[in-house]
Amino acid sequence: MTMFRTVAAIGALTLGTWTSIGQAQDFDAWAENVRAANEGKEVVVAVASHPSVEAFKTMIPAFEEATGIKVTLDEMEEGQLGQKLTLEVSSGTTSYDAVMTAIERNPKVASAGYIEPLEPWLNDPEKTPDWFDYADILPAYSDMFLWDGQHYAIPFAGETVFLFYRKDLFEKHGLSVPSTYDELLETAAFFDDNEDNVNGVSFRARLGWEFTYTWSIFLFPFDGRMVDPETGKPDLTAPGTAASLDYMRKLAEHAPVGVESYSFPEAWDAFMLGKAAMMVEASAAAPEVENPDKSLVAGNVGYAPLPAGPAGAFSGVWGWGLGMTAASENKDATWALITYLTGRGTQDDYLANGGIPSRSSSLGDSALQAELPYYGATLDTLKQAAALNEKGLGVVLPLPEWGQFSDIMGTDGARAFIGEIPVDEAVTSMQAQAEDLLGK
Amino acid sequence: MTSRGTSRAPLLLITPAFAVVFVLAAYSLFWLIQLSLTDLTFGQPFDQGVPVGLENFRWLLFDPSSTFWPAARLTGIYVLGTLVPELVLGLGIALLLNRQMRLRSVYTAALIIPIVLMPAMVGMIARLYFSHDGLINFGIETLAGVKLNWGGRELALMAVILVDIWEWTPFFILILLAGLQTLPVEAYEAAKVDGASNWQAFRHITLPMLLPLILTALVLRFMDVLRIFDVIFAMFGGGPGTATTTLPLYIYRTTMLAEDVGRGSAASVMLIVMIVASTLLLVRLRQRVMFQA
Repeated sequence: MTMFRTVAAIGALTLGTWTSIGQAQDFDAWAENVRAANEGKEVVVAVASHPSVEAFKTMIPAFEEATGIKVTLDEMEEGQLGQKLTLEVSSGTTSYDAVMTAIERNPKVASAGYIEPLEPWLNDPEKTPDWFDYADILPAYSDMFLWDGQHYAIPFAGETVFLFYRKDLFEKHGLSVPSTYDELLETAAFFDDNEDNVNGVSFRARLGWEFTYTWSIFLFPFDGRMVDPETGKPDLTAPGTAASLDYMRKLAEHAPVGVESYSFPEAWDAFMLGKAAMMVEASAAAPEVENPDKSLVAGNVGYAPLPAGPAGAFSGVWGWGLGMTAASENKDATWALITYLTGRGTQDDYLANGGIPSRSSSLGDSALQAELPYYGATLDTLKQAAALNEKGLGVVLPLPEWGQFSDIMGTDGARAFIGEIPVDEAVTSMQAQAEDLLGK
Repeated sequence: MTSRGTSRAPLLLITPAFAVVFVLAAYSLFWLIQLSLTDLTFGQPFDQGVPVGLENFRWLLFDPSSTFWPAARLTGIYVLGTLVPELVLGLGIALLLNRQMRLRSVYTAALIIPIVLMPAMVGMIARLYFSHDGLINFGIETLAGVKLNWGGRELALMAVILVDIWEWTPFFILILLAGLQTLPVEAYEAAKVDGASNWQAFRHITLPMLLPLILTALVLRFMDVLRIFDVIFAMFGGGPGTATTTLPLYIYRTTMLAEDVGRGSAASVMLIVMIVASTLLLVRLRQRVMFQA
């Protein structure tokens, strides 16, 4: 049965996807070349649990069949994966050929030489077939893995943060989608007062990186800073930093009770169960929100770019990519797998199996946009992220010390958020710790 | 020859066990102390730590940005908040179960269930139970018409304490029940003849005779509760704010998330010193009580 499915998959791939872009022969020739050089080799990949990894699992049998390379996925929870990679960097050894890495971790693994710069492969037409089409990946996503002028991973699941709102409730009360953060606050308060059992807005705010994640969205529209873009020195005492925390405290009054302990699953659940009229969350939540098996509000949700604050409207970019370990002994086989899983030619298969998009050919596809309303909002929000980058700023600092920096913000920020310490004190304490970390 | 042989035998017999403990515990402890004296970021090779003397300890204890003391204070509240109710409830329930009653063995067996559950699982389930629309609030709303914010700053620590009490009171019950069943009947009969009330019998016979066992149970639990991690981690991860960041959570967050191996190790060393010192005190107290008895 599996054999049949595999053959059928290859057939579908070759006849369907490939002929549609006229590259079936390219694929066959590529697969033959890969097989000739790598048949019988094994590629071990460390991955986190993620919808895109589920898509990979359905794609891998056809790859194995076509190339004779055996693929083993070592799947673990996201936090565990991060700690495991850090431990491997510390000990200088690895048990993997490829690893799933994220924007937050890239500077650390790249600067330590744990993963390989990919330019030598990307620039080699022998190894990178045309159907891979690197230029089709949105630059916002491919640049996540830039370190010292080179790319260290191929993005496959991009993520941004936008506004989810209940179209039915907005229509019922004749409200328009908030375009400023003041309006967002007013609208949230309105739903708190006028809808039974519905709060204004949901988001994650749990102690640690999740608090930093949400805060980094509110920080820049209020002109807050992590570091000075000119000098790279910590600049958390910029007045906007405290203002953005104050705003989050006000907004939390219109969030479901217990929001201060919300991790992203709780934040998503609150919205999907109809307990919040709006949500400021990751675009990755949208497929779940639209899934009627999981969400009570599926089909009633609109998506919009984030509102503007006094300093402008900004969002951020996060995401996952596949990188190749420097110590891998099967680099060509590993690269073949990465091109196969993240290429444009295999994209239809990837998306059909629940993979999260990161290419302009999919996000910009008008038929897909009509079918999936969050595709358009994703592209619009990526412009907000680009606007932030143009100012030399970003929601993640491209530094090996980002994990520590993020924890400083996620700890003292969360303490101020719940009133454990005053906002001013939190900002001063964060600045002192950040200076200790990065220098004054 | 014979006497020398016998005196050497025990030594030989404990050597393998001692060697294992030494390698596993003493070596790690030595390594930990060494790390606590360095400036090392998680992710750097472990041998690249820069020696900084006692700077990590100074920072933890005296720097205004350090939250070591609040974490230590929370740990103190957690220890008292769990051990006292667990002991009182445990003793009370053990006394009840010590009477002749039907199905006693069933009750006793059922008491083991919370203890054998995986703590991380208990934490995950408790996270659902204590959510705003969870089972606990459903009960409270039905009885009192209000819902409490267990995930909030004021009640989060209480929620984890309640879970600990649920999970570990049976430990006291089982130990104290076993103790109660070994107490000599004669003492109670004599007290009855002398006209002692139930309370007097409890106060002057049961409690003094059970005291060594109570202290043993307390010592065992005390060492355990000081390093509790799984349930709190699964329920609130130390938050909201730092409302449930007890010392073990603080150490985890400092080492793995703030990626400061030096400070995390220094905090671990201090926790170990606290555990050893206070356990020695409790053991001393227990010996004195046993001696007086």
